[in-house]
Formats: sequence, structure tokens, C-alpha cells
Amino acid sequence: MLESMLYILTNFPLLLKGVVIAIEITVASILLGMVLGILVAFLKIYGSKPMKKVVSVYEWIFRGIPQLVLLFIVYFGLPEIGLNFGPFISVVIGLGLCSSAYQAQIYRGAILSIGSEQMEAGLSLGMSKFKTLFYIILPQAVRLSLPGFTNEFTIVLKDSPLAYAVGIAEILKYGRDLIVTSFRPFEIYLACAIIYFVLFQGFYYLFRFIASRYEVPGFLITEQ
Amino acid sequence: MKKTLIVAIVLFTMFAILLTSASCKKKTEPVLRIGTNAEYPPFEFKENNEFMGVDMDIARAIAAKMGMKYEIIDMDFDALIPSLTSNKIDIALSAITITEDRRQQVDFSHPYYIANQVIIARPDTKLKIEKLEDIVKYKVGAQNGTTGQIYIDENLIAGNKMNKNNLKKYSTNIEAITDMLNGNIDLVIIDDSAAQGYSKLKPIATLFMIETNEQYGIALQKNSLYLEAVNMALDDLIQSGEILDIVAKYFEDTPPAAE
Repeated sequence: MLESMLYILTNFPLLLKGVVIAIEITVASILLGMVLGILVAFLKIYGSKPMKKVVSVYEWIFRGIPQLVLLFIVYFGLPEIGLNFGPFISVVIGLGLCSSAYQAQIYRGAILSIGSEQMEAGLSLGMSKFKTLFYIILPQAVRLSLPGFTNEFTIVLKDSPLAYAVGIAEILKYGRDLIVTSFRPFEIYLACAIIYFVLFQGFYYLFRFIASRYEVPGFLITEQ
Repeated sequence: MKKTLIVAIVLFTMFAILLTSASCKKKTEPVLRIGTNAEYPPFEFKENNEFMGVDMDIARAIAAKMGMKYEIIDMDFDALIPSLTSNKIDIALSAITITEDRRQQVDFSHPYYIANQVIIARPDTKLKIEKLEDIVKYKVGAQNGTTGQIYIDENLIAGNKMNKNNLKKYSTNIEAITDMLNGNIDLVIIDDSAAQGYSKLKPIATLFMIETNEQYGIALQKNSLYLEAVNMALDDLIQSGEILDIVAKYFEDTPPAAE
């Protein structure tokens, strides 16, 4: 038992190296997902009829494909049509596209819960539709979408080990490397689990802190 | 509200920089991209985060002889050939057996090592395997995409001699062996060289050897520009005896198989 703990401790720095990669993958994927997700959410609410159809199909596709399959299509499939991305970019595209479909739902919910009278108010003040969206709707929607966003962030974090499938070493992969030379699956996978758990909790509390900072006391939006 | 705009712009530029910096790397002098699955001691594994093993030493020696910088990229074994065909890596060294099927997708260098398949079991096993057909009754594990797995698929499962549910495929050997030691499967088919490597870590019983006389080769992209240079470097290493030294370095403290 003591020996196992010593082994884990001496190899802990190696596993922590994977943490940096896992965070990089998660943050980059979430950012891509956020940019696309906000775009999709806006188009779905304010876009023209055919546009709404297009983004619905987009959401429908990317929510229906497992991340790993998408990842393989991006990494191994796209080179055949001349798009050759490196492993990191492929993972970010794969996880980001999937996440964008989910994030779009989160933002759409948040935007819809802000009453349409605010849009009318903005327009009646002579602001353009885009300006109203950007200066009035979006800032409020960001606040409302934080809980859902936190959830999505941790989901992407927990999907990050998929990166190993295209050759990026993160926490789990470093753990597997250790198992190959030591044959201690229990201790090492347990250590990986603890690292993921601590990371998960860390980000959870970080986002909760952010949410509480941006909360407007007494300001509640009732479901419509 | 300007703040939100600034934050959005910063995030956008960060992402743009991320994308461009990654794509710029390719323009510098060519680097030999070497693919491997570093979960296969003693041929390729990681120790203190360094790539070690017979194949890794050979790869370094070849890159040195070719006068090229190299980069080792670690991935699943069954991702190696797709990575070659999609131009993610230039060469792959991962105890890859030269087979006709693989030749249709990639080119191979001259062979540099000869291996056979063995059937291994838990050290306290009472199973007796006298001929290949004896294994059909048991649950057998194999690393997916390896010659051992393909051998069983082609020789036993294709002829309906073995139920295909009795062959369980894993992404690495270590997972197959772990599952066997945990009692979930009875046997594992694996290259003899790898079995020797694992016997250092955990006691395992070798029950049967299938003399397949497989040749390990370095896999390259079809019509690769590197083929000639790799072959020349490899021939050099074989003729000078360096390969034997490398093999001896990783196999020397292996306990005798009879133990």
C-alpha cells in the first residue's frame, strides 16, 4: 500500500503534465463551441426561415454524432479532400463542433428567456437589430447561460481523454504509459480519476464564483 | 457593455493565433514524423516521459543517418496506418509485421526483426494447448489490428471453427493481459517478443507458440520519398551489427523462458 502511494507520488508530476494539455483542449474546444454556438443560437431565433432550417440541421447533425466519430472524420477523413489538420486542431474542431450544438441550445434558452419586449424597446429607441442584440440581449443572456455553460464545460473536460485516439497525450494517456512499465492499473487509474475529479471541482467552483459575481441581486427572470 | 465586446475580440484573436501558429510550423525544414504506439515494451514504451525501446532506438539511429530532425508521435496501434495514408506521419515503427494486406495501403522497408506468435495464460493456469485448434473453446484476447488477432480471425473464425464472440479485441496488449490476469478471458495471443517483455512485469505462462516467422518492417507512406534513405540507413544498422546491440540492450535481463 505504502509502496503504491510512493509510486504514484513519484510519478505525479508526469500526470500533471497531462492536466495542462487537458485544460488546453477543453478551453480551446469550448471557445470554438461558444463562437459557433452563439452564432447558431442567434440565427435560430432571429434568422430568416431558410436560415432557421439550416441551423436546425446543423444542431441535429452535431448533437447526433459521437465525438469520437467526428474526431476520426476530421483527423483521418478530411485529409482525403485536402484538409489536413494536426492532432490538436482536429481534437478542438471535433469537440468544438459537438459542443457548439449543445452550447447553441444553452444560449438559445437564455436568449428566449429575455422577453421579446426588450427587442422591441431597443428597436423603438432607434437601435438596429444587431445593436440591440449585442448591447442589450447578449449581456443578459451570458449571465443566464452561465449554469448551463458550466455544465457543458465540465462535460467537454471529461471528453478530453478522447484526444489520445489521435495521438495527443493527456492525463489518461500518461497514466497508461506508466501502466505499461509498472503494471499497476488500479493505483494509476485511481490517481487519474482523482486528478479529473479535482479539475472538475476546481472549474465548477470557479464558474460558480463567476456566476455569483455577475448575479444581479433581486433580478430574476421568470420562465415564460 | 464595451467590455463584452473587448472580451469577445480577445477570445477571437487568441483562437486565430492558436490556429495560425499551429499551421505555420509546417513551413520550417522537414522533420521526420515517426509514429508509434508506445505501449509495447520492450519495443516501444515510455520511461520518465522518454520514448524507449528497440524500435525507438532504431528510429533515432535512422533519423541520425538521414541527417534529419525527428519527432515521435504516440497513438493507438490501429491508428498508425490511417495516419500514414492521411499524411500525419512519415514513417511508423511499432513492431509492425509486414503483411500483404498492409502492403496495399503502405510501403514497407526491409525487415529488421523476426517474431512469432505465442499463446499466454495466467501463471497458475491448468489449461493445456497442444495445437492451435485447442484454443477455440476458450476466451482469447488480442490487441486489435495485430497479426495475432488477424491470424485467429483468418484461421479460426473465418472457417467457423471458433465463435467470434470468443475473441475479444483490445486497443493495447496491456489491456488484454490485465483482463486475462483479472480472469475475464483465458488466453491472450501476442508476439513472442512482447510476451517476453511483459513477463518481466508480471508472471505469465507461455502455453503455445505459433511459428508465423513474421518480419517487422518500418511502414512508410505509399511511394514515400524516404523509402530509399530509410532502407539504406536500416541496411547500415543491420550490417554494422548495431541492431543486434539495440535488441540485446532491451532483452538482456529477461528471465529465461523456462522459469
